[in-house]
Amino acid sequence: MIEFVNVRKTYGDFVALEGLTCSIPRGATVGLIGPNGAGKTTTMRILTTLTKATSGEITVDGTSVTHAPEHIRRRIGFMPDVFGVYEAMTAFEYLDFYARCNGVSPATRPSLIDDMLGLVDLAHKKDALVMSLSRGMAQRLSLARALLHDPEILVLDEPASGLDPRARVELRALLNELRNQGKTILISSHILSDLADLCTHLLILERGTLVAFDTLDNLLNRQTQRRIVIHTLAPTTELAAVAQRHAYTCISDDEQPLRYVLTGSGDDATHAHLLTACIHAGIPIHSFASERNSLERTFLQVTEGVI
Amino acid sequence: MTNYQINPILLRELRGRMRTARSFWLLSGFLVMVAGTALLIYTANYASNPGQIVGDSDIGRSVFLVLIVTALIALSLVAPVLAAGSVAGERERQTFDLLLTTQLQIRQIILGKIIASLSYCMLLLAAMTPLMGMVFLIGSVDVTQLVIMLAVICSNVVLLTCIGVYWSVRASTPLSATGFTLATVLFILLIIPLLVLTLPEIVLSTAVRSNISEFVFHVVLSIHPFVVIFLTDSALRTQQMWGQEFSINGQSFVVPAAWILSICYSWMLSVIIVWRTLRRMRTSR
Repeated sequence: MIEFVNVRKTYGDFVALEGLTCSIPRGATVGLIGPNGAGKTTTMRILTTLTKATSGEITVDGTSVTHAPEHIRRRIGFMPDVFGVYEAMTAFEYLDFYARCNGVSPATRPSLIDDMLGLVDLAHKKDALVMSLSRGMAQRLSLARALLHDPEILVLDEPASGLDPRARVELRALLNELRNQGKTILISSHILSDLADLCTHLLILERGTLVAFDTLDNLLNRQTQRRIVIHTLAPTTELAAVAQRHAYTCISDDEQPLRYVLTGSGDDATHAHLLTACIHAGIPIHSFASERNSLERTFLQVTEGVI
Repeated sequence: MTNYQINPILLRELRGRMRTARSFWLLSGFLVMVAGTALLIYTANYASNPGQIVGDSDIGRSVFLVLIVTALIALSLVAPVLAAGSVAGERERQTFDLLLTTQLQIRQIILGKIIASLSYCMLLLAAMTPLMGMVFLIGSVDVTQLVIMLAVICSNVVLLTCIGVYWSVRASTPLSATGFTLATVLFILLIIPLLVLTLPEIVLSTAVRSNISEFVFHVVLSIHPFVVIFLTDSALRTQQMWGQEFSINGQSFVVPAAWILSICYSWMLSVIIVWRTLRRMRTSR
Protein backbone atom coordinates (compact mmCIF):
# COMPACT_ATOMS: atom_id res chain seq x y z
CA MET A 1 0.00 0.00 0.00
CA ILE A 2 2.74 2.48 0.98
CA GLU A 3 5.91 2.23 -1.09
CA PHE A 4 9.12 3.99 -0.17
CA VAL A 5 11.52 3.90 -3.12
CA ASN A 6 15.06 5.08 -2.48
CA VAL A 7 13.88 8.05 -0.44
CA ARG A 8 16.62 10.50 0.47
CA LYS A 9 16.37 13.70 2.45
CA THR A 10 19.16 16.11 3.17
CA TYR A 11 19.28 19.38 5.10
CA GLY A 12 22.35 21.12 3.71
CA ASP A 13 25.21 18.68 4.26
CA PHE A 14 23.29 16.67 6.82
CA VAL A 15 21.74 13.47 5.49
CA ALA A 16 18.54 12.84 7.43
CA LEU A 17 17.39 9.88 5.35
CA GLU A 18 19.41 7.78 2.93
CA GLY A 19 17.91 5.45 0.34
CA LEU A 20 14.90 4.28 2.31
CA THR A 21 13.17 1.51 0.38
CA CYS A 22 10.38 -0.65 1.76
CA SER A 23 6.79 -1.60 1.16
CA ILE A 24 4.14 -1.42 3.87
CA PRO A 25 1.11 -3.64 3.30
CA ARG A 26 -2.46 -2.46 3.86
CA GLY A 27 -3.69 -2.93 7.43
CA ALA A 28 -0.19 -3.28 8.87
CA THR A 29 0.79 -1.60 12.09
CA VAL A 30 4.37 -0.53 11.59
CA GLY A 31 6.59 0.56 14.45
CA LEU A 32 9.31 3.02 13.49
CA ILE A 33 12.15 2.62 15.89
CA GLY A 34 15.59 4.05 16.11
CA PRO A 35 17.60 6.38 18.29
CA ASN A 36 17.05 10.15 18.24
CA GLY A 37 18.12 11.57 14.88
CA ALA A 38 17.61 8.24 13.11
CA GLY A 39 15.19 9.75 10.59
CA LYS A 40 11.86 8.60 12.00
CA THR A 41 10.23 12.03 12.12
CA THR A 42 11.67 12.94 8.71
CA THR A 43 10.13 9.78 7.25
CA MET A 44 6.77 10.69 8.76
CA ARG A 45 6.96 14.30 7.62
CA ILE A 46 7.67 13.27 4.04
CA LEU A 47 4.81 10.78 4.06
CA THR A 48 2.40 13.38 5.46
CA THR A 49 3.44 15.92 2.76
CA LEU A 50 4.96 18.31 5.31
CA THR A 51 8.46 17.94 3.87
CA LYS A 52 9.59 17.15 0.34
CA ALA A 53 12.07 14.34 -0.20
CA THR A 54 15.34 15.42 -1.81
CA SER A 55 15.10 12.40 -4.10
CA GLY A 56 13.21 9.15 -4.32
CA GLU A 57 9.48 8.60 -4.21
CA ILE A 58 6.75 7.64 -1.78
CA THR A 59 3.49 6.34 -3.17
CA VAL A 60 0.23 5.35 -1.54
CA ASP A 61 -1.60 2.83 -3.71
CA GLY A 62 0.41 4.16 -6.64
CA THR A 63 -0.35 7.83 -5.95
CA SER A 64 2.75 9.94 -5.50
CA VAL A 65 3.08 11.91 -2.29
CA THR A 66 5.09 14.54 -4.16
CA HIS A 67 2.81 14.93 -7.15
CA ALA A 68 -0.62 14.58 -5.55
CA PRO A 69 -0.24 15.85 -1.97
CA GLU A 70 -3.92 16.93 -1.71
CA HIS A 71 -5.03 13.42 -2.55
CA ILE A 72 -2.60 11.93 -0.01
CA ARG A 73 -3.72 14.32 2.74
CA ARG A 74 -7.26 13.05 2.37
CA ARG A 75 -6.05 9.52 3.12
CA ILE A 76 -3.69 10.25 6.00
CA GLY A 77 -4.33 11.30 9.58
CA PHE A 78 -1.29 12.74 11.33
CA MET A 79 -0.64 13.06 15.03
CA PRO A 80 2.63 14.91 15.66
CA ASP A 81 4.75 14.49 18.76
CA VAL A 82 3.67 17.89 20.10
CA PHE A 83 0.14 18.98 20.90
CA GLY A 84 -0.29 22.57 19.77
CA VAL A 85 -3.22 24.38 21.34
CA TYR A 86 -5.22 27.43 20.48
CA GLU A 87 -6.25 29.74 23.26
CA ALA A 88 -9.80 29.71 24.58
CA MET A 89 -11.06 26.75 22.57
CA THR A 90 -13.14 23.86 23.91
CA ALA A 91 -12.54 20.24 22.93
CA PHE A 92 -15.66 20.34 20.75
CA GLU A 93 -14.58 23.56 19.02
CA TYR A 94 -11.08 22.17 18.51
CA LEU A 95 -12.46 19.16 16.64
CA ASP A 96 -15.05 21.32 14.85
CA PHE A 97 -12.27 23.56 13.53
CA TYR A 98 -10.26 20.66 12.12
CA ALA A 99 -13.40 19.01 10.77
CA ARG A 100 -14.09 22.23 8.83
CA CYS A 101 -10.47 22.31 7.65
CA ASN A 102 -10.90 18.76 6.37
CA GLY A 103 -14.09 19.59 4.54
CA VAL A 104 -16.48 17.58 6.71
CA SER A 105 -20.02 18.62 5.78
CA PRO A 106 -21.93 20.83 8.24
CA ALA A 107 -24.75 18.30 8.46
CA THR A 108 -22.58 15.46 9.75
CA ARG A 109 -20.06 17.50 11.73
CA PRO A 110 -21.75 17.63 15.19
CA SER A 111 -22.55 13.92 15.31
CA LEU A 112 -19.12 13.00 13.95
CA ILE A 113 -17.40 15.06 16.64
CA ASP A 114 -19.58 13.49 19.34
CA ASP A 115 -18.65 10.05 17.99
CA MET A 116 -14.95 10.90 18.00
CA LEU A 117 -15.08 12.27 21.52
CA GLY A 118 -16.84 9.07 22.56
CA LEU A 119 -14.25 6.91 20.80
CA VAL A 120 -11.38 8.54 22.69
CA ASP A 121 -13.40 8.61 25.92
CA LEU A 122 -13.57 12.38 26.14
CA ALA A 123 -17.32 12.90 25.77
CA HIS A 124 -17.45 14.27 29.31
CA LYS A 125 -14.81 16.89 28.37
CA LYS A 126 -16.72 18.20 25.35
CA ASP A 127 -17.04 21.74 26.75
CA ALA A 128 -13.74 21.80 28.62
CA LEU A 129 -11.04 24.14 27.39
CA VAL A 130 -8.34 22.25 25.50
CA MET A 131 -5.70 24.05 27.56
CA SER A 132 -7.15 22.52 30.73
CA LEU A 133 -6.85 18.89 29.56
CA SER A 134 -4.22 16.57 31.01
CA ARG A 135 -1.42 15.35 28.75
CA GLY A 136 -3.13 11.98 28.28
CA MET A 137 -6.46 13.59 27.41
CA ALA A 138 -4.75 15.99 25.02
CA GLN A 139 -3.08 13.07 23.24
CA ARG A 140 -6.42 11.31 22.91
CA LEU A 141 -8.01 14.49 21.59
CA SER A 142 -5.17 14.79 19.10
CA LEU A 143 -5.85 11.24 17.97
CA ALA A 144 -9.54 12.09 17.56
CA ARG A 145 -8.51 15.05 15.43
CA ALA A 146 -6.38 12.81 13.23
CA LEU A 147 -9.36 10.48 12.74
CA LEU A 148 -11.94 13.15 11.84
CA HIS A 149 -11.83 12.63 8.09
CA ASP A 150 -11.75 8.84 8.46
CA PRO A 151 -8.26 8.33 7.02
CA GLU A 152 -7.07 4.89 5.93
CA ILE A 153 -3.57 5.61 7.19
CA LEU A 154 -2.63 6.92 10.60
CA VAL A 155 0.80 8.40 11.19
CA LEU A 156 1.57 8.79 14.89
CA ASP A 157 4.79 10.41 16.03
CA GLU A 158 5.64 9.48 19.62
CA PRO A 159 2.00 9.27 20.73
CA ALA A 160 2.89 7.88 24.16
CA SER A 161 5.64 10.31 25.07
CA GLY A 162 5.06 12.01 28.39
CA LEU A 163 2.06 9.86 29.27
CA ASP A 164 1.63 8.21 32.65
CA PRO A 165 1.31 4.38 32.70
CA ARG A 166 -2.48 4.44 32.85
CA ALA A 167 -2.74 6.85 29.90
CA ARG A 168 -0.30 4.67 27.96
CA VAL A 169 -2.43 1.58 28.52
CA GLU A 170 -5.55 3.47 27.43
CA LEU A 171 -3.84 4.80 24.32
CA ARG A 172 -2.58 1.32 23.44
CA ALA A 173 -6.11 -0.08 23.78
CA LEU A 174 -7.40 2.67 21.52
CA LEU A 175 -4.75 1.99 18.88
CA ASN A 176 -5.54 -1.74 19.05
CA GLU A 177 -9.15 -0.87 18.32
CA LEU A 178 -8.13 1.22 15.32
CA ARG A 179 -5.87 -1.56 14.07
CA ASN A 180 -8.82 -3.94 14.31
CA GLN A 181 -10.83 -1.51 12.18
CA GLY A 182 -8.30 -2.14 9.42
CA LYS A 183 -6.38 1.14 9.53
CA THR A 184 -2.78 1.11 8.40
CA ILE A 185 -0.79 2.62 11.24
CA LEU A 186 2.74 3.98 11.31
CA ILE A 187 3.84 4.69 14.84
CA SER A 188 7.14 5.87 16.19
CA SER A 189 7.98 5.34 19.81
CA HIS A 190 10.91 4.84 22.14
CA ILE A 191 8.78 2.59 24.32
CA LEU A 192 9.57 -0.69 22.62
CA SER A 193 7.39 -2.85 24.86
CA ASP A 194 4.35 -0.85 23.69
CA LEU A 195 5.32 -1.44 20.06
CA ALA A 196 5.80 -5.16 20.69
CA ASP A 197 2.21 -5.40 21.88
CA LEU A 198 0.83 -3.37 19.01
CA CYS A 199 2.86 -3.77 15.82
CA THR A 200 2.75 -6.31 13.04
CA HIS A 201 5.89 -4.89 11.38
CA LEU A 202 8.97 -3.03 12.48
CA LEU A 203 11.01 -0.50 10.56
CA ILE A 204 14.34 0.08 12.23
CA LEU A 205 16.35 3.17 11.29
CA GLU A 206 19.74 4.31 12.40
CA ARG A 207 21.39 7.55 11.27
CA GLY A 208 18.98 7.86 8.38
CA THR A 209 19.58 4.37 7.04
CA LEU A 210 17.15 1.47 7.02
CA VAL A 211 18.61 -1.23 9.24
CA ALA A 212 15.73 -3.68 9.13
CA PHE A 213 12.15 -3.91 7.91
CA ASP A 214 10.25 -7.09 8.57
CA THR A 215 7.35 -8.57 10.46
CA LEU A 216 7.67 -8.49 14.21
CA ASP A 217 7.83 -12.31 14.41
CA ASN A 218 10.59 -12.58 11.82
CA LEU A 219 12.62 -9.91 13.58
CA LEU A 220 12.21 -11.54 16.97
CA ASN A 221 13.26 -14.88 15.47
CA ARG A 222 16.40 -13.26 14.11
CA GLN A 223 17.59 -12.98 17.67
CA THR A 224 20.46 -15.46 18.01
CA GLN A 225 21.12 -15.23 21.73
CA ARG A 226 18.41 -16.47 24.10
CA ARG A 227 18.38 -16.58 27.86
CA ILE A 228 17.17 -19.09 30.41
CA VAL A 229 16.77 -18.00 34.03
CA ILE A 230 17.00 -20.88 36.52
CA HIS A 231 16.36 -20.73 40.26
CA THR A 232 17.60 -23.66 42.35
CA LEU A 233 16.87 -24.76 45.90
CA ALA A 234 20.59 -25.03 46.74
CA PRO A 235 23.85 -23.75 45.25
CA THR A 236 25.17 -25.97 42.47
CA THR A 237 28.32 -26.29 40.36
CA GLU A 238 26.77 -28.96 38.14
CA LEU A 239 24.66 -26.45 36.20
CA ALA A 240 27.65 -24.84 34.51
CA ALA A 241 28.78 -28.23 33.19
CA VAL A 242 25.31 -29.14 31.91
CA ALA A 243 25.05 -25.76 30.22
CA GLN A 244 28.44 -26.11 28.60
CA ARG A 245 27.43 -29.50 27.12
CA HIS A 246 24.57 -27.71 25.37
CA ALA A 247 26.83 -24.83 24.20
CA TYR A 248 25.36 -22.41 26.76
CA THR A 249 27.26 -20.23 29.18
CA CYS A 250 26.17 -20.12 32.80
CA ILE A 251 26.49 -17.00 34.92
CA SER A 252 25.62 -17.04 38.60
CA ASP A 253 24.27 -13.99 40.33
CA ASP A 254 26.36 -12.86 43.31
CA GLU A 255 23.47 -11.01 44.87
CA GLN A 256 21.05 -13.88 44.32
CA PRO A 257 23.17 -17.02 44.80
CA LEU A 258 20.37 -19.40 43.79
CA ARG A 259 19.71 -17.60 40.48
CA TYR A 260 21.58 -18.63 37.32
CA VAL A 261 21.37 -17.13 33.84
CA LEU A 262 22.15 -19.39 30.90
CA THR A 263 22.88 -17.74 27.53
CA GLY A 264 23.07 -19.53 24.20
CA SER A 265 21.63 -19.80 20.74
CA GLY A 266 19.48 -22.89 21.12
CA ASP A 267 15.82 -23.17 20.16
CA ASP A 268 12.88 -24.35 22.26
CA ALA A 269 13.87 -28.04 21.76
CA THR A 270 17.36 -27.33 23.10
CA HIS A 271 15.82 -25.71 26.14
CA ALA A 272 13.71 -28.81 26.75
CA HIS A 273 16.84 -31.02 26.49
CA LEU A 274 18.64 -28.71 28.89
CA LEU A 275 15.85 -28.99 31.45
CA THR A 276 15.86 -32.79 31.17
CA ALA A 277 19.66 -32.86 31.56
CA CYS A 278 19.45 -30.69 34.66
CA ILE A 279 16.92 -33.02 36.25
CA HIS A 280 19.02 -36.08 35.35
CA ALA A 281 22.07 -34.38 36.87
CA GLY A 282 20.16 -34.03 40.12
CA ILE A 283 20.16 -30.23 40.14
CA PRO A 284 17.44 -29.08 42.57
CA ILE A 285 15.55 -26.83 40.18
CA HIS A 286 12.93 -24.53 41.66
CA SER A 287 12.06 -22.71 38.45
CA PHE A 288 13.19 -22.81 34.81
CA ALA A 289 12.20 -19.86 32.65
CA SER A 290 13.05 -19.67 28.98
CA GLU A 291 12.86 -15.92 28.33
CA ARG A 292 10.75 -14.75 25.43
CA ASN A 293 12.66 -12.85 22.77
CA SER A 294 12.33 -9.18 23.62
CA LEU A 295 12.11 -6.28 21.24
CA GLU A 296 14.70 -4.38 23.23
CA ARG A 297 17.31 -7.09 22.72
CA THR A 298 16.30 -7.61 19.10
CA PHE A 299 16.72 -3.87 18.49
CA LEU A 300 20.12 -3.78 20.16
CA GLN A 301 21.24 -6.86 18.27
CA VAL A 302 19.96 -5.69 14.88
CA THR A 303 21.48 -2.23 15.19
CA GLU A 304 24.75 -3.41 16.70
CA GLY A 305 27.66 -2.55 14.45
CA VAL A 306 25.56 -2.04 11.36
CA ILE A 307 26.62 1.53 10.80
CA MET B 1 -28.79 25.49 -1.60
CA THR B 2 -25.08 26.04 -2.10
CA ASN B 3 -22.52 24.19 0.00
CA TYR B 4 -20.81 27.44 1.00
CA GLN B 5 -18.74 27.30 4.16
CA ILE B 6 -17.00 30.18 5.87
CA ASN B 7 -13.21 29.93 5.83
CA PRO B 8 -12.41 27.95 9.02
CA ILE B 9 -9.20 29.91 9.62
CA LEU B 10 -11.14 33.18 9.55
CA LEU B 11 -13.79 31.84 11.91
CA ARG B 12 -11.24 30.49 14.37
CA GLU B 13 -9.10 33.63 14.31
CA LEU B 14 -12.09 35.91 14.91
CA ARG B 15 -13.46 33.79 17.74
CA GLY B 16 -10.06 33.26 19.29
CA ARG B 17 -9.21 36.95 19.11
CA MET B 18 -12.49 38.22 20.48
CA ARG B 19 -12.41 35.79 23.41
CA THR B 20 -9.27 37.31 24.82
CA ALA B 21 -9.33 40.35 27.10
CA ARG B 22 -6.56 41.85 24.95
CA SER B 23 -9.04 42.61 22.15
CA PHE B 24 -11.31 44.59 24.41
CA TRP B 25 -8.42 46.49 25.97
CA LEU B 26 -7.12 47.34 22.51
CA LEU B 27 -10.55 48.48 21.32
CA SER B 28 -11.05 50.58 24.46
CA GLY B 29 -7.56 52.07 24.22
CA PHE B 30 -8.10 52.92 20.56
CA LEU B 31 -11.38 54.70 21.27
CA VAL B 32 -9.94 56.58 24.24
CA MET B 33 -6.97 57.69 22.13
CA VAL B 34 -9.06 58.81 19.14
CA ALA B 35 -11.79 60.47 21.21
CA GLY B 36 -9.27 62.07 23.57
CA THR B 37 -7.27 63.58 20.74
CA ALA B 38 -10.42 64.84 19.01
CA LEU B 39 -11.65 66.36 22.26
CA LEU B 40 -8.29 68.03 22.80
CA ILE B 41 -8.34 69.62 19.34
CA TYR B 42 -11.97 70.66 19.74
CA THR B 43 -11.30 72.27 23.11
CA ALA B 44 -8.13 73.97 21.90
CA ASN B 45 -9.92 75.35 18.82
CA TYR B 46 -12.87 76.52 20.87
CA ALA B 47 -10.68 78.09 23.53
CA SER B 48 -8.59 79.98 20.98
CA ASN B 49 -11.73 81.39 19.31
CA PRO B 50 -14.06 82.06 22.24
CA GLY B 51 -16.31 84.38 20.33
CA GLN B 52 -17.17 81.88 17.59
CA ILE B 53 -20.01 79.41 17.60
CA VAL B 54 -19.40 75.65 17.82
CA GLY B 55 -20.52 75.04 14.26
CA ASP B 56 -17.54 76.88 12.83
CA SER B 57 -16.19 75.02 9.79
CA ASP B 58 -12.56 75.10 10.91
CA ILE B 59 -13.40 73.26 14.11
CA GLY B 60 -15.34 70.56 12.24
CA ARG B 61 -12.63 70.09 9.65
CA SER B 62 -9.86 70.07 12.28
CA VAL B 63 -11.60 67.48 14.42
CA PHE B 64 -12.29 65.37 11.34
CA LEU B 65 -8.66 65.46 10.21
CA VAL B 66 -7.44 64.67 13.70
CA LEU B 67 -9.83 61.72 13.92
CA ILE B 68 -8.62 60.41 10.57
CA VAL B 69 -4.92 60.89 11.30
CA THR B 70 -5.17 59.41 14.79
CA ALA B 71 -7.03 56.40 13.44
CA LEU B 72 -4.41 56.04 10.73
CA ILE B 73 -1.55 56.20 13.25
CA ALA B 74 -3.21 53.58 15.44
CA LEU B 75 -4.07 51.29 12.54
CA SER B 76 -0.59 51.67 11.02
CA LEU B 77 0.69 49.99 14.17
CA VAL B 78 -2.18 47.62 14.97
CA ALA B 79 -2.75 46.17 11.48
CA PRO B 80 0.82 45.00 10.74
CA VAL B 81 1.44 43.81 14.29
CA LEU B 82 -1.75 41.74 14.31
CA ALA B 83 -0.90 40.26 10.93
CA ALA B 84 2.75 39.62 11.83
CA GLY B 85 1.68 37.23 14.57
CA SER B 86 -0.70 35.25 12.37
CA VAL B 87 1.40 32.51 10.72
CA ALA B 88 4.46 32.87 12.97
CA GLY B 89 2.11 32.50 15.94
CA GLU B 90 0.85 29.19 14.51
CA ARG B 91 4.46 28.04 14.26
CA GLU B 92 5.16 29.08 17.82
CA ARG B 93 2.05 27.30 19.09
CA GLN B 94 3.12 24.28 17.02
CA THR B 95 -0.22 24.17 15.24
CA PHE B 96 1.08 25.12 11.82
CA ASP B 97 2.03 21.61 10.71
CA LEU B 98 -1.44 20.42 11.66
CA LEU B 99 -2.97 23.06 9.39
CA LEU B 100 -0.74 21.99 6.54
CA THR B 101 -1.85 18.37 6.85
CA THR B 102 -5.52 19.33 6.51
CA GLN B 103 -7.26 19.68 3.19
CA LEU B 104 -7.09 23.47 3.29
CA GLN B 105 -5.37 25.10 0.35
CA ILE B 106 -2.42 27.39 1.04
CA ARG B 107 -4.42 30.34 -0.32
CA GLN B 108 -7.29 29.60 2.08
CA ILE B 109 -4.89 29.69 5.00
CA ILE B 110 -3.29 32.96 3.90
CA LEU B 111 -6.55 34.66 2.93
CA GLY B 112 -8.13 33.54 6.21
CA LYS B 113 -5.26 35.12 8.12
CA ILE B 114 -5.41 38.36 6.12
CA ILE B 115 -9.18 38.76 6.34
CA ALA B 116 -9.17 37.95 10.08
CA SER B 117 -6.57 40.66 10.76
CA LEU B 118 -8.45 43.09 8.53
CA SER B 119 -11.76 42.34 10.23
CA TYR B 120 -10.43 43.44 13.58
CA CYS B 121 -9.06 46.66 12.06
CA MET B 122 -12.44 47.28 10.43
CA LEU B 123 -14.06 46.77 13.83
CA LEU B 124 -11.80 49.50 15.22
CA LEU B 125 -12.79 51.79 12.37
CA ALA B 126 -16.46 50.99 12.81
CA ALA B 127 -16.17 51.79 16.52
CA MET B 128 -15.29 55.35 15.48
CA THR B 129 -18.73 55.85 13.89
CA PRO B 130 -20.20 57.88 16.82
CA LEU B 131 -17.20 60.22 16.73
CA MET B 132 -17.60 60.66 12.97
CA GLY B 133 -21.27 61.36 13.59
CA MET B 134 -20.27 64.13 15.93
CA VAL B 135 -18.16 65.73 13.18
CA PHE B 136 -21.18 65.68 10.86
CA LEU B 137 -23.23 67.42 13.53
CA ILE B 138 -20.60 70.15 13.79
CA GLY B 139 -20.68 70.48 10.00
CA SER B 140 -18.20 71.38 7.24
CA VAL B 141 -17.40 67.75 6.35
CA ASP B 142 -19.39 65.98 3.67
CA VAL B 143 -19.96 62.32 2.95
CA THR B 144 -17.64 62.33 -0.10
CA GLN B 145 -14.76 63.53 2.01
CA LEU B 146 -15.46 60.89 4.65
CA VAL B 147 -15.73 58.10 2.04
CA ILE B 148 -12.46 59.14 0.35
CA MET B 149 -10.54 59.31 3.62
CA LEU B 150 -11.92 55.96 4.80
CA ALA B 151 -11.05 54.41 1.43
CA VAL B 152 -7.47 55.63 1.79
CA ILE B 153 -7.24 54.28 5.34
CA CYS B 154 -8.78 50.92 4.41
CA SER B 155 -6.49 50.46 1.39
CA ASN B 156 -3.47 51.21 3.53
CA VAL B 157 -4.64 48.85 6.25
CA VAL B 158 -4.94 46.13 3.57
CA LEU B 159 -1.38 46.84 2.41
CA LEU B 160 0.06 46.88 5.94
CA THR B 161 -1.78 43.65 6.80
CA CYS B 162 -0.38 41.95 3.70
CA ILE B 163 3.12 43.11 4.67
CA GLY B 164 2.57 41.69 8.16
CA VAL B 165 1.40 38.32 6.84
CA TYR B 166 4.32 38.18 4.38
CA TRP B 167 6.86 38.61 7.19
CA SER B 168 4.86 36.24 9.33
CA VAL B 169 5.38 33.53 6.71
CA ARG B 170 9.07 34.33 6.31
CA ALA B 171 10.08 34.77 9.95
CA SER B 172 10.36 31.91 12.41
CA THR B 173 8.98 33.68 15.48
CA PRO B 174 6.21 36.26 16.00
CA LEU B 175 8.77 38.61 17.55
CA SER B 176 11.06 38.62 14.51
CA ALA B 177 8.03 38.85 12.19
CA THR B 178 6.81 41.89 14.11
CA GLY B 179 10.28 43.43 13.96
CA PHE B 180 10.61 42.98 10.20
CA THR B 181 7.06 44.25 9.66
CA LEU B 182 7.53 47.39 11.71
CA ALA B 183 10.85 48.02 9.95
CA THR B 184 9.04 47.82 6.60
CA VAL B 185 6.29 50.16 7.80
CA LEU B 186 8.90 52.61 9.09
CA PHE B 187 10.63 52.42 5.71
CA ILE B 188 7.41 53.40 3.96
CA LEU B 189 6.46 56.12 6.43
CA LEU B 190 9.88 57.66 7.10
CA ILE B 191 12.58 56.59 4.66
CA ILE B 192 10.62 57.02 1.41
CA PRO B 193 9.57 60.65 2.19
CA LEU B 194 13.12 61.36 3.29
CA LEU B 195 14.48 60.00 0.02
CA VAL B 196 11.92 61.91 -2.03
CA LEU B 197 12.81 65.14 -0.28
CA THR B 198 16.59 64.71 -0.27
CA LEU B 199 17.51 62.70 -3.37
CA PRO B 200 16.43 65.30 -5.96
CA GLU B 201 18.50 67.87 -4.06
CA ILE B 202 21.57 65.70 -4.50
CA VAL B 203 21.00 64.15 -7.91
CA LEU B 204 19.19 66.77 -9.99
CA SER B 205 20.15 70.26 -11.08
CA THR B 206 18.17 73.18 -9.68
CA ALA B 207 16.44 73.85 -13.01
CA VAL B 208 15.26 70.29 -13.46
CA ARG B 209 14.37 69.98 -9.81
CA SER B 210 12.13 73.02 -9.76
CA ASN B 211 10.45 71.73 -12.91
CA ILE B 212 9.55 68.24 -11.75
CA SER B 213 9.80 68.16 -7.95
CA GLU B 214 6.13 68.89 -7.34
CA PHE B 215 5.12 66.20 -9.80
CA VAL B 216 7.53 63.63 -8.30
CA PHE B 217 6.41 64.58 -4.82
CA HIS B 218 2.77 64.00 -5.80
CA VAL B 219 3.32 60.71 -7.62
CA VAL B 220 5.84 59.06 -5.28
CA LEU B 221 4.52 60.27 -1.96
CA SER B 222 1.05 59.03 -2.78
CA ILE B 223 2.35 55.76 -1.28
CA HIS B 224 2.49 57.60 2.06
CA PRO B 225 -0.97 57.59 3.67
CA PHE B 226 -0.36 60.59 5.94
CA VAL B 227 0.83 62.74 3.05
CA VAL B 228 -2.19 61.58 1.05
CA ILE B 229 -4.57 62.62 3.83
CA PHE B 230 -3.22 66.19 3.77
CA LEU B 231 -2.93 66.36 -0.03
CA THR B 232 -6.53 65.16 -0.31
CA ASP B 233 -7.77 67.66 2.24
CA SER B 234 -6.06 70.44 0.36
CA ALA B 235 -7.33 69.16 -3.01
CA LEU B 236 -10.89 69.01 -1.72
CA ARG B 237 -10.62 72.59 -0.51
CA THR B 238 -9.59 73.65 -4.02
CA GLN B 239 -12.27 71.48 -5.67
CA GLN B 240 -9.65 69.22 -7.34
CA MET B 241 -11.14 65.97 -6.19
CA TRP B 242 -10.25 63.73 -9.14
CA GLY B 243 -6.95 65.08 -10.42
CA GLN B 244 -4.24 67.65 -10.12
CA GLU B 245 -2.76 69.67 -12.93
CA PHE B 246 1.02 69.81 -13.41
CA SER B 247 3.18 71.59 -15.92
CA ILE B 248 6.59 70.36 -17.04
CA ASN B 249 8.54 72.23 -19.73
CA GLY B 250 5.47 74.25 -20.55
CA GLN B 251 3.30 71.17 -21.12
CA SER B 252 0.30 70.81 -18.86
CA PHE B 253 -1.20 67.49 -17.87
CA VAL B 254 -3.48 66.11 -15.21
CA VAL B 255 -2.42 63.38 -12.81
CA PRO B 256 -5.00 61.43 -10.79
CA ALA B 257 -5.53 62.76 -7.30
CA ALA B 258 -3.28 61.53 -4.51
CA TRP B 259 -6.07 59.48 -2.92
CA ILE B 260 -6.68 57.63 -6.22
CA LEU B 261 -2.98 56.92 -6.63
CA SER B 262 -2.75 55.84 -3.00
CA ILE B 263 -5.60 53.36 -3.36
CA CYS B 264 -4.12 52.00 -6.62
CA TYR B 265 -0.63 51.66 -5.11
CA SER B 266 -1.96 49.95 -2.01
CA TRP B 267 -4.01 47.38 -3.91
CA MET B 268 -1.32 46.68 -6.51
CA LEU B 269 1.34 46.21 -3.84
CA SER B 270 -1.05 44.10 -1.77
CA VAL B 271 -1.70 41.77 -4.71
CA ILE B 272 2.04 41.44 -5.38
CA ILE B 273 2.79 40.77 -1.69
CA VAL B 274 0.02 38.16 -1.40
CA TRP B 275 1.36 36.45 -4.53
CA ARG B 276 4.88 36.43 -3.07
CA THR B 277 3.52 35.11 0.24
CA LEU B 278 1.69 32.25 -1.48
CA ARG B 279 4.82 31.40 -3.46
CA ARG B 280 6.90 31.42 -0.31
CA MET B 281 4.44 29.13 1.46
CA ARG B 282 4.30 26.72 -1.45
CA THR B 283 8.07 26.43 -1.79
CA SER B 284 8.63 26.05 1.94
CA ARG B 285 5.98 23.32 2.28
